[in-house]
Amino acid sequence: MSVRVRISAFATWTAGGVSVGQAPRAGEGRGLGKWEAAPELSSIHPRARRPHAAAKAMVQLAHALLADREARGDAPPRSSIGLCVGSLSGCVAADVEFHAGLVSRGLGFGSPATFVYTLPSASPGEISIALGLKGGLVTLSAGISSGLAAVASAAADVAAGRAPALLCGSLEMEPPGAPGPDGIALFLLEPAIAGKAGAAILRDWSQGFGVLPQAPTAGDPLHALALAAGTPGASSLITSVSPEGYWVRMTVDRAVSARAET
Amino acid sequence: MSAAITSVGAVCGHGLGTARLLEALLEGRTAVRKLTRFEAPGLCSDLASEAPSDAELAEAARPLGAAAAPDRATRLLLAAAAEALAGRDLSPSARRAVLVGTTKGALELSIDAWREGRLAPALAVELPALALARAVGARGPVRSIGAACASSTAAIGEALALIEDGVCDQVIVGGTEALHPFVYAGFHSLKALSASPARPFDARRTGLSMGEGAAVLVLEPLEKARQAGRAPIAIVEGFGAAADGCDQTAPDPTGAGLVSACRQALARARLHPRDLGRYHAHGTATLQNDRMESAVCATVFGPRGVPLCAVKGSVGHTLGAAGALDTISCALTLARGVLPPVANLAEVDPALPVDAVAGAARQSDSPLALVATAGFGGINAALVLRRGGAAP
Repeated sequence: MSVRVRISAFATWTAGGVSVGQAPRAGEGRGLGKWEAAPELSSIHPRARRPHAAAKAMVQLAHALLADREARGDAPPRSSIGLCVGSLSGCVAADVEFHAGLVSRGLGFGSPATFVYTLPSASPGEISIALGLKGGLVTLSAGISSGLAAVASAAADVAAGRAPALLCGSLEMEPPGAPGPDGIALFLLEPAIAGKAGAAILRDWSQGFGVLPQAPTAGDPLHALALAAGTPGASSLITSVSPEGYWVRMTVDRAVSARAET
Repeated sequence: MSAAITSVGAVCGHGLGTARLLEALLEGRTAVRKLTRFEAPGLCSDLASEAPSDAELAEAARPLGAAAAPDRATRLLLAAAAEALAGRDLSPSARRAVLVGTTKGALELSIDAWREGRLAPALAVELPALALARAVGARGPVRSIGAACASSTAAIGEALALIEDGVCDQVIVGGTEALHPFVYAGFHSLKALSASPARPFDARRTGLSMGEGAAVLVLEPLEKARQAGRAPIAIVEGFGAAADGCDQTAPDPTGAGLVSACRQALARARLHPRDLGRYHAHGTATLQNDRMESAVCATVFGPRGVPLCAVKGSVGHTLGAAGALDTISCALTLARGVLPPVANLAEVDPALPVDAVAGAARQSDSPLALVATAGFGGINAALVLRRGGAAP
């Protein structure tokens, strides 16, 4: 069994700020840009217990993405949505913080609140807890191709019917002093609906290791994916190749339409 | 679609190789002892299950011909892989994938860098998977999988997906984790460590014991394995995954997430709970986990129940390697037709209505088992295993 896979919603947070359903914002600097309309964490995650900065940012962006999707009707139930997030930097910011605490206070005095976030899966886990996503949850690492690898893996699961919907993408947030840039890109993948125009359809995804006789897409591949998904009439081959040899590629077709329909 | 497990390799606190692991499990022995690799002054425990020395690991990995590994997690993985891949043709192939579950990968390299005021190596968590991929000529998908303590179970699920989708003919799935004071101190901060060797499902259990180790499984399409004359040790019939959506560290006490994962695995295997002959538990020996899994058993199996096995009293909690070690332990004992006893279990907690195997191993004719794992972030993953044709 194989169904067509569509990007039904997407959102990015870059140095230029947050964009939902539209091209990522360009910006300078290494950290996440200001987001004036960011939802208060307490309003969307009442049970939050001092989540780490990366987890907080993921929850806020995922909330905005799901709100955008749900406003268009017939959204999948949140309890059926799984998570598949790629990250090269993983949880390094929390790692550095926890390690610094052990050094300054001693081995017996590590912060449990910080230790909890020293797992790459902790930030996606926070989305699951805050927003009630109860499908399978996994993080992937494949160098700078981590995010696109996560999208490809998620697309395969939706196409094969292993998951009814998956929130996928990438999270990169490094500690101060690291080169960055920081960024979050999230995509909601669902089965495409026959007869509905305008959706961004993913196809021909593949992954491998070793030499790929093809140039990578310039810039961040997930930003390119978001740009293509938001550009009517675009058909784009997105390719990521890492120096270690990971490679991922896929094609996204966006039909001509004023706005993405579900 | 099913996938055959056609060879396995492991290294843990019982030493190098699956034979040592199986023997220890059947005898109910524990490898949890006083820490020797580092000091744990003032912490609530000083016990762990420690794997062999770096020199022994390097020697065991020599047949793979891999470059010398810079970190212990990679050394553990390559040592286990050498056993699993002995005699295999490792010519480069785009139909061969490598998936490795781990939570911290080459953490020690990051810690060393921070001590020297440098940035951590960018790929620390991926180094074990990269080393294995280069050693085995993988040209198909290569990834490190992070799903907390369910990482390598999730990796097996991803492997099943690659085989089902016809992407790969061979997936080398591994799990690896090395002991490190960073993680040990973390579990101390959560007050999760037991001052005595962990005793899953015991009335006097007081928490988990840390462990280190690695496990590698080779998964292939069942028909291709049979055509090649490779009898499966076990067959992965189904996989399921679900999140609790509840808490970062404590499991949903009702076990709803793990129940969902178990039921998905059973549905994909086209099996009913009554078909199963054992529940291979995550069994960390914390009050909360074992209570949660007791609720899972009651919900999934009803009053009939099934025998329960668990290995973390024997090999410790090996975090990212746990799922793969659990799967190999279950596969090997399934092949023997035996339910291994839960190490250190003296008296099953009367508040937990489970039929945990205590004291001595039991015979079991049933060819089917459910392997369950749970992790921080409310992550749950489950597998259905069927006994293959080959006995170890």
